[in-house]
Amino acid sequence: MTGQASPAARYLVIGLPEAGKTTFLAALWHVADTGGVPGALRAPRDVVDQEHLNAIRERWLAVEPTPRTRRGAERRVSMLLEKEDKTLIEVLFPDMSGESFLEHWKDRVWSAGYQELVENSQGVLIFIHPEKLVPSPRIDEGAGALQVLQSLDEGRSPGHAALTSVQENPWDPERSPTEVVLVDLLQMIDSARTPVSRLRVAVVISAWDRVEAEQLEPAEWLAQRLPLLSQFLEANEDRYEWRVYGVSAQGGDPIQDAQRLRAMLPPERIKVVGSGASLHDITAPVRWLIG
Amino acid sequence: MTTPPGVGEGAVTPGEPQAPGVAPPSVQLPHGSELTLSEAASLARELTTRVVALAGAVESGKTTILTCLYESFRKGPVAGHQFAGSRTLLAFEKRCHPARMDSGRANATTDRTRQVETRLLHLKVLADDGSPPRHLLLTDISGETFRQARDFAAEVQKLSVLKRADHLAILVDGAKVVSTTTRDAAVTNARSFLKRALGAAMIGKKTVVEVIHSKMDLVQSAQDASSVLSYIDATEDRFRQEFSSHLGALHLFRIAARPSGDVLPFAYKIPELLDAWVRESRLFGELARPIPPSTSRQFERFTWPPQE
Repeated sequence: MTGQASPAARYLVIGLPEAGKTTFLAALWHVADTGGVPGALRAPRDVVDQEHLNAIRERWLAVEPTPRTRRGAERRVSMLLEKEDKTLIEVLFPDMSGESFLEHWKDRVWSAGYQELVENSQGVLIFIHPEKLVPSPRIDEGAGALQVLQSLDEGRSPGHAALTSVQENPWDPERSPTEVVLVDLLQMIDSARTPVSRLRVAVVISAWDRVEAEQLEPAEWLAQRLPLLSQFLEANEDRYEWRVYGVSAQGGDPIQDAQRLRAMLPPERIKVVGSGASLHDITAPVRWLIG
Repeated sequence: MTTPPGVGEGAVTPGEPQAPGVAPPSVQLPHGSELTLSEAASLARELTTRVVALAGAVESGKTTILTCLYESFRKGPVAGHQFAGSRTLLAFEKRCHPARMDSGRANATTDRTRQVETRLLHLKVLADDGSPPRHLLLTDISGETFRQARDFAAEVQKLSVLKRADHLAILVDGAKVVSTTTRDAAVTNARSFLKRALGAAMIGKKTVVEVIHSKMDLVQSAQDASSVLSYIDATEDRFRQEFSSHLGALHLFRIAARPSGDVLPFAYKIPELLDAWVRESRLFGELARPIPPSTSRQFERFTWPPQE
């Protein structure tokens, strides 16, 4: 292939724990690397270090649930992607643990390395897992909310107090609503940048297969389930250009649907909706980001 | 580009070899808690920023109004205003906690405001009428300060934020108004604070005042609700007669920020209150000049109206 790579384009990949960031990157890498989806971005050349990408891709191919990215195991992945005009662009995605972002929110500090990333990023991929939202309902919202919280409680670590106890729980910023944390992460990123142009924000609602029965467009789903974030993006169109995608990178539940998913051609597991994306083109949000 | 293998934050710092065991430098982010007067000064200098001070007796509902306003934005736009950001999201979240299921409490409550120094919450909103986004700086004056300011002239003069306040919202506690034992003192105290603030020229013709009767759910469900409502009617008339001519405007509200039961909806009349705060101000007038920023000028010495 001809063409020089332009200077590396950097994108932030943010999302709370288990939001689906790593699974997306794995499937993205596979599609870009193998060209199994017509119209999708291609990665025509290798980069020097593809160890992490290949490792996560292997797990995705085997329909294994993606383990949480541990705090110490964060990697910066890069891909050489070919744009429509045949130029190559090196795209950098840090694969960071969701805990890192919770720490930014909670401790109000991030590393100098991340600061450098933020200052030089051209866009952001935000991941939201519809079943892992922290809703934080009000007491007056009553019984329905209690059920939601009890279902969350089942997935919680033993250190947290059970909801059915009568003791009062002190405020824990890690239990803040997902949308509030995401808005503040965007605000912190915005304040760290010297904007030359608007920041492109691709919101990816992962595990879209779990919510498609609601028959909402991804942007509608966002407005209904995360109204604060949705208003924030709409009201700041001078700072952000944004699109919402619904993506199922796994294609289903990697445990319950494993057999069915393994029998499919890997790219056909992928489902992408919203913002004009074609069905299996998981590169669509990235293609829009890189412009 | 190679990514050096490794563990910890060092793995994502580009290009630089990290000495093992050395923590990389970190960058401090905006704190997200309430703003001090000096932190809020640059926002306060913008003419379009609305500064709202809430005053009232202990537990009259000031903080609850603010938390309920914030929680309303978590459901969608409020009175046609979209949430466009906040520098104090951590502060809002902390204040909302006692009324969230996560607190483990059986009943929604609000923790007491204890601080003496002025602390401000921040909201940026965008109206649906095409006007540019607007900042709101909101402060609730603690109940103790309210009481002391009523008693001592020197105390009200310390509330320098009042001079920059587009709105002063005075609360009359609905819980006190339902009882004949406590209602007169509640109204008198609110009236005294207003009189004291006017007398000390902390507020005046450039201030919009809201007299707010809170906890209207308690009023409506009181046994003698109709006589309580008549009392409120009379109170509002008296406030209007005594203070309207001295102020930019005087408006009356009856709200229930976090009503119990099904009598009134959550955040009853809060959207109308927000809309009044955003849309109306008499502070700077038609011929206002921008206040020049000055590093030496502290917000505390903000002279208002602006000097020629």
